[in-house]
Amino acid sequence: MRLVLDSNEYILGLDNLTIVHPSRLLRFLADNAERFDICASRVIVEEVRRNLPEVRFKDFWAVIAVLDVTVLEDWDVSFSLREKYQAMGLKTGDAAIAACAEAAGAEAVITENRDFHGRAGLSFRALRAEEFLKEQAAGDSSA
Amino acid sequence: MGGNRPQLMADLRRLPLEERKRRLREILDRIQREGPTPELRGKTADEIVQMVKRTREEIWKEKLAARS
Repeated sequence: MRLVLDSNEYILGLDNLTIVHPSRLLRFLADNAERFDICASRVIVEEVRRNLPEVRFKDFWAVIAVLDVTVLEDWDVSFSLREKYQAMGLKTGDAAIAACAEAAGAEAVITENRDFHGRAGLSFRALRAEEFLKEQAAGDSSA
Repeated sequence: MGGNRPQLMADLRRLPLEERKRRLREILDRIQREGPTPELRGKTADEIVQMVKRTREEIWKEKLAARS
């Protein structure tokens, strides 16, 4: 299953810890790494860099290496895809994340950003970490 | 983690899956023990999400300004 983890999941999971699910998400992905193909955009990496203290940003680099995250560059994502999502009402930066997810063929974007949740017309599902983990747990128990 | 970072990252990616899983669990366990950094301690999750959203728009303003 191909996923995009938004920057807020890495930041909350690696530092803030005021909500437990992003941290649990990273642990779940660590334990089930063979089941997931994780992508990010270069902008997601830059957002994490600008918002995490250096000591945690080093941890972030190690995390994306061991999770074998594929980082898409701007030129991997077509301008028209970003425009499509902007026309749907997403802000420029969010539209770029949506475009990255579509270009990557992601089934889901895991994000705590409410601007994605419940929005029609996305090529992927936008889930909070908690929702994703519940789905995975339900899938595991029905398997 | 000093030295040649791209090489270190490449080395991490090449580790066997079980070793990569173990490394990641170690990192997450350490972060859990250390707790939040002073920079983010006390901020709510929503405050963090809003902070990152502002950064996202700043980055795109910079990118678009650089292209114009």
